[in-house]
Amino acid sequence: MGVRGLWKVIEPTARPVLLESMRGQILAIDASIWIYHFIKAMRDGKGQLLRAAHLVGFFRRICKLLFYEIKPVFVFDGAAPILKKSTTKRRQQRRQDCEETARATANRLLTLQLQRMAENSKESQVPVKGSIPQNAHYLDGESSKGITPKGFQSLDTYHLPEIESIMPIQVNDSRLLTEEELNEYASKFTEEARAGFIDTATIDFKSPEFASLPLATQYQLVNTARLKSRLRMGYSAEQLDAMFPDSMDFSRFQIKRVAQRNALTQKLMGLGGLEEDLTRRVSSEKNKHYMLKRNEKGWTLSLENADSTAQSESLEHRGQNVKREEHSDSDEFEDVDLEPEPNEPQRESLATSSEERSPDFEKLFGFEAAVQREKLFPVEFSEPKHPSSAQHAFGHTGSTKSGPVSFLFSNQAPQTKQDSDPAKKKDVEEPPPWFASSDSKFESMALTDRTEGSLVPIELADSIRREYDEYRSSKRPKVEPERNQETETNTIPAEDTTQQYLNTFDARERHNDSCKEREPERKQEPETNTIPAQDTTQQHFSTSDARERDNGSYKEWEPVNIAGAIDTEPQQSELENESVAPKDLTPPGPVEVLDLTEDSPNHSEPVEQAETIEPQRVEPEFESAMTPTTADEEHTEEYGNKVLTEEDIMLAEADALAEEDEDQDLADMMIGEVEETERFNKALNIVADRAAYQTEITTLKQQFANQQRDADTVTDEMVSECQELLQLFGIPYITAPMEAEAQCAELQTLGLVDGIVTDDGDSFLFGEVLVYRNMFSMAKYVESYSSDQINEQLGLDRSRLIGLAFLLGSDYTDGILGIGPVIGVELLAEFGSLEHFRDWWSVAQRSPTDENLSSPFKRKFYKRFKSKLFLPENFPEAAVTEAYEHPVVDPDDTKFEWAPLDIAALKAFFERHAGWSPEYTNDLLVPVVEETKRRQLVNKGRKDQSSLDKWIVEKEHTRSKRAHRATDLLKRKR
Amino acid sequence: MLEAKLDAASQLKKIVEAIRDMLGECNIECNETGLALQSLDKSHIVLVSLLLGSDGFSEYRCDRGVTLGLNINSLATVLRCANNDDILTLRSEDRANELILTFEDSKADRISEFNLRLMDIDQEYLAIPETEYAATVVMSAAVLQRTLRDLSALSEAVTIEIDKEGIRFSAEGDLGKGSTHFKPCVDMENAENSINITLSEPVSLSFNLQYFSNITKASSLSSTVTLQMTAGMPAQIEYKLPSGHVRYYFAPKIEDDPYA
Repeated sequence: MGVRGLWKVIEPTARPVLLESMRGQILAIDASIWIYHFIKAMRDGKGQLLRAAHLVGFFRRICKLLFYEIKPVFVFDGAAPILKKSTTKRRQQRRQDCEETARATANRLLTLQLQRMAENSKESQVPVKGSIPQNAHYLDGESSKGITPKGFQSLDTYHLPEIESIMPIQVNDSRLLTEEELNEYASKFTEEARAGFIDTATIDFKSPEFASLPLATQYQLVNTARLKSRLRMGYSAEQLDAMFPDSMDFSRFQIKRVAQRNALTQKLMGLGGLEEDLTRRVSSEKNKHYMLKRNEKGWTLSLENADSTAQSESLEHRGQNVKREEHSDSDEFEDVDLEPEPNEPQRESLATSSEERSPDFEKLFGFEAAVQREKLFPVEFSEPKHPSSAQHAFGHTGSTKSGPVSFLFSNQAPQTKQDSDPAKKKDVEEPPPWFASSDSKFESMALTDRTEGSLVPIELADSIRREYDEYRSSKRPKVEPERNQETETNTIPAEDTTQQYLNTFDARERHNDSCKEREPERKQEPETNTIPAQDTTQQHFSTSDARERDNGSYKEWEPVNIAGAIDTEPQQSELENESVAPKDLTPPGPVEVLDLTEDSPNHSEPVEQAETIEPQRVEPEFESAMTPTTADEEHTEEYGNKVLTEEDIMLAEADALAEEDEDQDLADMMIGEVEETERFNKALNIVADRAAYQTEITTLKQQFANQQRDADTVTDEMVSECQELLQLFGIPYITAPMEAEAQCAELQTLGLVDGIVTDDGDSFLFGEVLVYRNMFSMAKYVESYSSDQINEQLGLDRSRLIGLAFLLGSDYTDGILGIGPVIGVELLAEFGSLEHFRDWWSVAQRSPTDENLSSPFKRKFYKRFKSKLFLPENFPEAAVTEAYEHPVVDPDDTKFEWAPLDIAALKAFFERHAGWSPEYTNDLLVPVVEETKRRQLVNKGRKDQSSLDKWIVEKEHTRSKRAHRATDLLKRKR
Repeated sequence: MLEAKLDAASQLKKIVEAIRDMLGECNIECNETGLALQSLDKSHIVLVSLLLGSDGFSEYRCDRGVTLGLNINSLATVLRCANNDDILTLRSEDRANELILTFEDSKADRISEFNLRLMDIDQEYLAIPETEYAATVVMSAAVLQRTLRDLSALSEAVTIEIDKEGIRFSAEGDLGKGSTHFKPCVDMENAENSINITLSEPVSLSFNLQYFSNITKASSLSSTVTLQMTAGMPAQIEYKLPSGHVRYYFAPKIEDDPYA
């Protein structure tokens, strides 16, 4: 803008001016440069152009002018002269370059963010030890090749294809947010959530995004969602009726909501760190009923209090699974369903028994350990054991279908099953007392004893009691193989009975073993328990899919059983104590209870562990310990024939597995250690890298903002809006035919204005002017420059200033590369005119004789520019000189007039354009008006005082002799 | 070469005192006809025009025009050193850069000499276009001074209205308002008390009282003052000197302001 470096040259002539002293002056204001300034300067934190920046800027500056009682006349640029157009073209070129670089920067920004995301995902993968990340294959070379569009060959990992379309960039694009901004955004979000603005229904609480939120926010959201789920959604009963004409639909809907709420509650508890407590508390509630219901999908087992949605869900899942396996399970289910039908009251008792009974195993399982410790588990037990197992086997074969099912769902004691099943289905002759006994058993232990007594000799009561316990406890692990058998029976019916028998036997044997093992290595117990069971399963299922599914359902089922077991234990043991104590039998109650309580959590935890570890475990086991399917088949055959050896093998395998496990554990630990170290190092690096990314992103953003700023241009719309604003302020404005600076100079020549406000030095070239600079800069004094001063002090008249423009470059001419303000002035001083310089250079450049390089400046200049500077023939382009000397201007000398400002219209104007409320505009505007009025009152004597200047004519420009001499001297120096 | 002698130093002292408040540095142009000073005050509201004709001096000699660039306050300071009845001599050589003031006490044979350094003052020489004034009032300088002093208690501005009926000074401020009306009259005994109004059309102008009271400090120079006014034009206020005059051109207040 203007002549490059001109201000530097004329700065010594600057006179500081107090704004107060400019009161009443009429100043011409180059407004085109104003808009340009506002567009460049008024940016928000992200470098975006503020809304109505030009208007707000105009408003502010006009207020300042009015405050100091300056009368402004605004001059806008008209059409650009042809000469300027070439320069403008070059400027636009520069701007376009800027835009292009802005786009490139945006691209780089995206690339960097992607890089960071990649790093993040890498980082998040590290802690998941041993597991293969789901998305891992997306990152490796092969699959990514598939993704890469054709025709694009990536040079490296971060090399991205060119994006054809222009990238839309928004301020709050989450992709471009830095960590800090993201946090800010998140905190805002939290506040919104607190205020209940966020629709919790749309949140996926299981998503990793949700999990990545801060705990406090998670809690907040879950809590809100939970509270909301309680509400009836604001519908009245009638409305709900209308919505759900079928009451079943509504019930289902309600149940869904309850399930949803329960999930939320659990989530909430989990968030609050109460998850474990919850499990215990829920299961410790008394008088709970498991209800088995049939629905379209399968079976649903629910607790009366509906708190066990997860459990019923798992069971439902199980039911579905079984169906999918296309076994006869569904039939079996039906059997169970029929069971209670004949005898309605039985149903409840059965349900109760199934609930309360199942814990018995668990309890007795623990109890048995105590017994074992007292060395009350000698050989003699084996004798009565066999009949009972045989009995069981009989019952089993008798009711092959219903037996396993009852196991499945109630984990009922075999005793009860044996009793009830034949009673109902096969042996009608069996007396109802069985039922009674089984029922009463739950009421008192004494009754149980009596029932036992009817089965076995009474003198053996003690041992039987123990045996019974033992039996039942041994039954517990048997449940697992039994379940496997259930499917087995379908696949291999031939071996059915024997295998069942053998299996039960095996299981018991194994269990005995495990019981012994449990003494030294308690923790391994559940593993050994489950693993052989799986082994068996594996043997009979050729496909791993089925096995896994089975395992899955089994696992799901297991915890429920145990959970149910734990809480009934104390009561049961108490009952037992009551009945047992009179008979002076077994260890004292308190010890037992202690043991039990100690056991149960121990027990449940490992199982849970097993549940989680299983999927990983099964696979290696299958691969390493288990041979291919053909080998499996052989194995199966062998299994039928050589039961004992098989057992041994299995046991050995189990041991080996245990050992292997230990080794594996050790190796795992070592690997884990190494991985941990790596991860730690990596985390450190990532932190450092992240910081680097952050800074880089910030700098890039800054760069982008700057580039965008440079790319913005003054539009006609802005100009017309500013003109509208001026009209409202009652300030006169004109649009110059060509250059605003030239028109300003013309206005001054015409005597219509007292001075020119511009930061553009071109005005001096267009005429004799008084220029005020830094009018709106708070940091600097307002400086006044007058052509007279410049001429007097520096000897630079208008023609010489035009000459300087040729050398330094301006709007009309490019200037000479390498010539700055100092050389430019020196050159003018040396040659006086550019023509002389051109003539000299054309000669001197070719023949640098002493004659031609007569002065030090000439020598220096030659040295510096001899091979760089080639002046064009028409060097001081006449057209440029002409454009400066006789610019196209409007010579109208009509005086300007000012009108009072229209406050109401201004309010409306800013409401429309800048979104200011009328009050806001008023607040801004009224003080200025008031202040002006106040000053008018205070300075009444001065304010409305006219000056003599307009009547006095300068008669003669007299200058003191010494001043003449001084300026002459200065001129000579130049 | 300038050499001018005044029989009484008080003559010059009074003049300098009357204008010193309004002027800072200014050039005194000396030529054969006498000394002339013309300068605007800093705010360009008042132009002071002083003419001391050669006749006013007991001795006066000026072969060539000389410009004396002086700080009026410095001149006043030096003049205070002179007794009122001292004989005062101003001398300045051609191309010299000082003004020599000599105060002679004829009785005591005391001669004081002060050299005032001259300055180069870049001053425009101004001319006031000659105009026919719509109203001319000749009245006692002391009365005018007194009237304005009274009104300055009320306001910063005074409005002067001249019509056939007379001349009316009025002021309005926060305290209230006040006015003094003078009818044209002829006092045969004390000619200076006469009020003579010549009028082509009625005039009403407002003036800043602060500046006006500074102007009326020249009341000591003359018994009468001549006010000349035209609507929308600066007033001319003239105090006659034995030979020459002190003239003030005084810009009025603007009645209507677009921002008011």
